[in-house]
This record gives sequence, structure tokens and C-alpha cells, in this order.
Amino acid sequence: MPIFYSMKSQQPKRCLNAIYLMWHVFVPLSAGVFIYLFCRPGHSWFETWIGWAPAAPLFNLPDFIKGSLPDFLWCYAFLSFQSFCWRGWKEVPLFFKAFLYTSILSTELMQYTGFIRGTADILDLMAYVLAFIIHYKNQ
Amino acid sequence: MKKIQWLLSSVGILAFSFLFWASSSPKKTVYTPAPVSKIDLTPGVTADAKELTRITDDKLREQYPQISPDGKKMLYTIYDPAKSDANSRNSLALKTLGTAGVSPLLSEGCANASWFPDGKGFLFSYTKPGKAVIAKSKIDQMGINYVSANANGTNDSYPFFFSAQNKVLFYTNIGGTNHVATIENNGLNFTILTEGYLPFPHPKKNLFVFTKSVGDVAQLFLYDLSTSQQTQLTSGEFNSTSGNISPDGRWIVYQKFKKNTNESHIFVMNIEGGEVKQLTTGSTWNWCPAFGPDGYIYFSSNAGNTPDKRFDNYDIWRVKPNMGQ
Repeated sequence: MPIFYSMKSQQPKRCLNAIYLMWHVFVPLSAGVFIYLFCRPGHSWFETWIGWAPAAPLFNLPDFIKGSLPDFLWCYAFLSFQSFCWRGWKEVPLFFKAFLYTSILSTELMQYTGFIRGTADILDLMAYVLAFIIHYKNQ
Repeated sequence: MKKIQWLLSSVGILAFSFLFWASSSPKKTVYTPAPVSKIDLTPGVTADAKELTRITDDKLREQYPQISPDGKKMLYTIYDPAKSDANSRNSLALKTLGTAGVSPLLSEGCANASWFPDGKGFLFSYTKPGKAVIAKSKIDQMGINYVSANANGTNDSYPFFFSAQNKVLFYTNIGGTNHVATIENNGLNFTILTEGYLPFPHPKKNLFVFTKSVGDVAQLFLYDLSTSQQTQLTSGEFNSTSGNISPDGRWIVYQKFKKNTNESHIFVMNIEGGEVKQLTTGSTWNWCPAFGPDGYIYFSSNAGNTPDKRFDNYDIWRVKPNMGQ
């Protein structure tokens, strides 16, 4: 579990916080955005806002990686950010943990019913569950 | 401190929800088929084209026109869906441009013909044997000669004479995937070049244009065999396919359409993929374009039909693009 507070010195705490945020939040988030922008066909709001889209995917990744890896990375980054906010996953209230897990998984159900845009995919569900497990193990 | 934690946590939820929403696509136009009575199949061209003319006018599906090197004759495929044997539905016809008549050439199972450079013979796909093979014949002779006695894949189709390599360029299906390939004129040395379909060779250079799926959208690519480099020429959510290079090698004409719609139009661009111009317009389906040596682009279209017959009758039309310099 990351050490957020130390009685001895503030300096190591700040470094550890920054290192944790970088490796467990920023890097997975950025990697997911990179894969979404440069390795997937199609057009999302990202491309609409920046007014640019790659002519062709930069890398030819297998479909299941292109589709599900960004979801895994974002889910992991999101849970890591919640860990950071609460100074550790064990400190997150139990009902809030349940709410987070449920709401993440329910996005797929809402896509399946058409309530929100997107394609419901069993691989995405598996990606989320894998992110839950790996995040929990890392804590 | 608790309040700050809740606040940070909520901000995180909002931020990631926004990220999730931003990764979705802009609202797609839900395609609602227009009532038949409201579909207007009047042929139309844009300001970048002129002299739209109907070349054939039969109550059949006429497609894949190819003009002879001297510009006087047109080979095309006639598709008859009424035939019970699916392998026999295509036949080849020859029309002398500027005259009224049509000469049936080869019936039952012959499709997608293209000319040899001498203008006397032609290549085509022969589907009657069950698995399509590449065959050839001559205008003034009857009979079918096999280029390759056996099928190279499950659907040897769309053959063209590739001058730079002195071979036949075509595509076939192997293992469920379409591949562009070449064979010698005697049918030997089957060589797979790339995944893709509907290839068309450059008249002089060692390169060809072809179609390949990028995700679930068909796009046009240029493959330079001298450098082994593939260049994607088109992009976006519209399918671009059936590329055909002009006799001077400077332009490509192709078909562009959006999935699940009833409109397809003819576009032209330069060989590098720039200067894109739309030639046809309206609610019609225009496809399989081909350059003629006379500067016209010939294509198949359902323009001019009654709305209830819009899928039953396709005729060959031609249009002259305003190419500029």
C-alpha cells in the first residue's frame, strides 16, 4: 500500500504521492488515450475537438486489445485515483467501493440497452474485472 | 479532511465520466430508409463533371464497364438474378460505342472482363466451374481459354493485365480473407502480394491501387512494388473502393459510399490522393467506375429508374470530369 503520510518528513511523502499518481493514474490514463486515438479506426469526440484524426491506425493491434485495453487502463487509473483520494483503498467506505464497482460494470449494461452510446462487449466487462483484481492486489 | 476526500473523489468520478463520454463517437445519424415514393433517381452531376450520358438502356443489371485501348468498344458484365444457378448469373457483352446494338460475348458464368493491351483479347473471371478461375478469350473467336487451370483461391476475380510485370493481377479469397495476387500469363507462379481486393494496375509503373478494410471501413491503398510500400489514399467513415487509374497514370476514379445507405457516388482524385472531386450527385447508386481513353469515366448506375425498381436495373453511364491541369 502506498505510503501517503509519514510522521518523519513531508518530502518523501510528496515524492511518493507524485510517483504513485504518475505510475498508477497518469501513465495508464495516457496510454489508454493514446491507444484510442492512434490505434483505433473511427471517430470520437476527441478527434472532433482537436480537428484531427490519423489517416490510418499507427499500430495494427488485435481487435480485442484495441477495444478492451483502453477500458482496462482507464478503469485501473480511476480506481487508483480513488485510492489516492482516500489515502488507500482500505480507507474507502465499503458502500462507496460497491458503488464504484457497480457503476463501472453498469456502463456496459447501459450501452447494451442503448441508454448511453457505445457497444456492449463481454471483453470490456472482463477488462474491468481484471482491472478491479489487479488494482486490489496492488493495494 | 473527509469533505476534501469526498470532493476529490467526486471530481475524479466526474472527470472519468467525461473521459468515457468523450471516447464515444459523435451522434450518428440514424439511417431511416426513405419511403419508396420519395426516392428520386434523377441522375445528376456536380460542377466538377459534365456531359452525363446513358450508354446502355436495358432492363438488366449492367456493371463493370471496361473500354478498349482504342476507345471504340466497351466490355461489360450483365447480371441476371433470375437464373437459378448462382454460378451462371453473369455474362459478358460487347458494345461498340456510338452504335445501338450489343453483342453477347460469353454467357453463363463469365464476369469482370478487362482488355489486353492489344485490344483483341480480354481476361475475365469464369465462375461456372464452381470455384472461379481466371480465363481469357478473344473478341473475334469463341471459346474460353483457362489462364490458370485450377483456382488459386476460392474466388479468383477481377483480373487485369499488369504491364509493368507482364503478369495477371487479380484478387482471390484464401482462408476467408481476400488477397491481391499475380500469376504469369500461363497461370504459373501464383504470388500473393497483399491482403485486399479489387486491384487495378498502373498503366506503366510497377504499382497498383486496391481496396483494403481499415476497421470496418473500406479504404483505397496504393502499393508500389518497386519499394514494397503501401500508401493509404483515403480515410474517414465513408467506404472508398473500386479504384481505377487513368490511362495517363495521374488520376484515380473510385466509388464512395456510407454503409447502410442507398447512395453511392463517383469521385476522382490524383494519384497521391489529393484534389478529390465528387462527380455524381443525387439519391442514386453509382459504382464500378472506369476511365476510358476518351477522357470519359464509365460507370454503372441505377439512375433513371422508377423508385420501386431501383435495385433491379443498372445501366452503364459516362461522364466527363473537369480535371483542370
